[in-house]
Amino acid sequence: MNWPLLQNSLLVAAATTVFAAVLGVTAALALAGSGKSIRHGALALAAVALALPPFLVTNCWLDLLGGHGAWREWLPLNIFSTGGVVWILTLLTWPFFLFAALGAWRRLEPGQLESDPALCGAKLFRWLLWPMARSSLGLAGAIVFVLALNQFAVPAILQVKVFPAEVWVGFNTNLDNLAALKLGWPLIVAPVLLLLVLQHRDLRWPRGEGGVSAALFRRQLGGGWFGFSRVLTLLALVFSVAVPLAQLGGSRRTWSQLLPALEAAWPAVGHSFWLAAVTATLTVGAGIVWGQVVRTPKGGGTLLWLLFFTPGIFLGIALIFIFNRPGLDWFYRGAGVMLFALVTRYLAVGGSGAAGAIRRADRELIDAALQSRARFDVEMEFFGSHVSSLMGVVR
Amino acid sequence: MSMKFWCWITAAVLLLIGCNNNRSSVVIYIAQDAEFARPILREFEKETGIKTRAVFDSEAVKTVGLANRLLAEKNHPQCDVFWGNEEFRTRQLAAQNVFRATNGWAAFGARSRRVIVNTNVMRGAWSVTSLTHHAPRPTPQPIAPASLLELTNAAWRGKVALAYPMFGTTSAHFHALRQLWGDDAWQNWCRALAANQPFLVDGNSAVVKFVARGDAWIGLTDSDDIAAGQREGAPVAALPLAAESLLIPNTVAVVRGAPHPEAAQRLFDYLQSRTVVERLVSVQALENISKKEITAPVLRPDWDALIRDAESTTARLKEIFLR
Repeated sequence: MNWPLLQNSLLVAAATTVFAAVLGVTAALALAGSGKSIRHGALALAAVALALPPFLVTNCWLDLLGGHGAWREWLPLNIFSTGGVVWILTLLTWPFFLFAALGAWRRLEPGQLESDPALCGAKLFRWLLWPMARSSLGLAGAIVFVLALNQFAVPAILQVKVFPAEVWVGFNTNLDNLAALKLGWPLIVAPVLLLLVLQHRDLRWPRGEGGVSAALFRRQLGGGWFGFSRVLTLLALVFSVAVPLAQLGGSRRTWSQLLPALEAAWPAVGHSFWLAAVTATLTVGAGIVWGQVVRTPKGGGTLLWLLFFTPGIFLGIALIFIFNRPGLDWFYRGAGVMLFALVTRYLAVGGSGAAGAIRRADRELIDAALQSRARFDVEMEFFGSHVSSLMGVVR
Repeated sequence: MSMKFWCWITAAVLLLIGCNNNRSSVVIYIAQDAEFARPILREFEKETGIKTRAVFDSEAVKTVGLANRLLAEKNHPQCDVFWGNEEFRTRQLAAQNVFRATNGWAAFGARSRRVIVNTNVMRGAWSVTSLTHHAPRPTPQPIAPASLLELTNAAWRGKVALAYPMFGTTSAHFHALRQLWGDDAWQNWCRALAANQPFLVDGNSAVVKFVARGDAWIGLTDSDDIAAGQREGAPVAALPLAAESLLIPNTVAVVRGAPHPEAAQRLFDYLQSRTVVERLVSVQALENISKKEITAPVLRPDWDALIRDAESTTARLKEIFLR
């Protein structure tokens, strides 16, 4: 066991979780108090931040803060450091906390804010917003912690040695899956421990409209808090989305190579979109079924989250072991096994939200509607707002 | 349930099942870049009428994903042909009986491990920056290291970039250097190199980027990555082949128990054909038609011994570079 590397990984993961939480929750405060168009626009940009490839963001910041970076003269920060890794991973993961907090605060009722005018500013957060979001934020924290713990590419580029490198040696050089699995136990145990702490928690993704108007939320939050959170949100979006995209778009190479690259990889691009769309649809569909069958958040949730947190190569090898058998060729050789793998992987993220939406639905209303023979239409209308946002997240 | 619903279900089931057990098709796992491999496979399909189903490695896990998949599928193979881009990995798989017993795999063409320098930082030292196939070789100047042994000099402290020596072609190169120098000298060099604070990155293309950006002045990487950097206008130049350079041929192998053995054999032969190799050379995926073409005194490892010692070499590398 390489303890120094494990310590590095734990430090990176913990620091990333803390900074991403601060940024994400602050952004959620700003968006909860903002109008619909600003909120939707910012959420879309936050989703872009989640979708950007880590190596792209890292290379962008190397061009800015590396040894010969464009900003290096007036901002002499050392990007080749643990701090640099935490900075990049924070920019890549803060939207998890934004989605979690905003989703939780959508349940706010006007009465909760109006009943006590003194409940404002820091007190509002301490006594109302934090308790409401604590559970969802815990789960978001677990996701961010594990993603940062398993991250290898960003720390490697920025010269920070981390534990996943040790596991990769087992896979890469020795081609010994079992040894790699044994060596990689901390990468499995860490999420298991987190799941034990966080079990029974339900993930709520942000949906269309909450019960509290933006103006009321803003008034209770106070001008200072709201202004500060808006500035921080703007900076977060600039650093995590605008800067990498501007750098990518501003490069002549991007435009000169875009068409040839698209031409060469067109089938792969098509497959990626197709797989993402079908996976998202199946994942949310499975979540709806799961929510109807299992009435409490604890049912099966821990196992699904474990499948999400486990390094993908372990999951892939397990699926090969299960499905690569003579009688199952019809399934293994088609697209089915790929979709099964992706749905299994992402069911915890997309499915748990859909399942939660089902659980929170008014059963009597659904039953009444179902009896009126409008089953499909009613279900789609009732869950439409949840499902559309979830599908975006899963994609 | 409505008719529409059942139509959707039927379509989905057909999609999931697929119909891929066609006799005139061949499944190939490919470590070579898709942009180079796809046109070649299209040509093969046109010439033979055999449909190819290609599985490429992913950026995230690189060739190791395909290698582990081949091993995991060993008892019930799905792949017919493996097109590798590093001999060491292919030999490792062959040692684990992944390929057929007779004429299991073959090497074709060659690229090489090279030292590159940033031509802006070393202004004046380089007059030629291109590593195209027929371009004249750059002339080494006193400022550039004449041997890998010099990378441990204080002058290059924090100025050298290389991929993690436990992974990919860098791993094979370090294994071969151990054979060349002997264990003691090799370990001393590795320790001195690690102490010289090199940039250790996650891949060979990243090495080119580090050198091009000027974060590092010198890099140790693959010739095709240098060529790709040069095509993009990166200010990098490669040093000529030397006694410490390693040649890296592409490999093609037929999997033991391949589901489509006849089609596999045709693709196996096709990929080694001179037309294909010339095409790969023309797009700079390879540097040379054959290893035999290269007269420079490069590394000629004893591969059997290399594979035999792989575990202990990796253990040393981990101990030195992963602390």
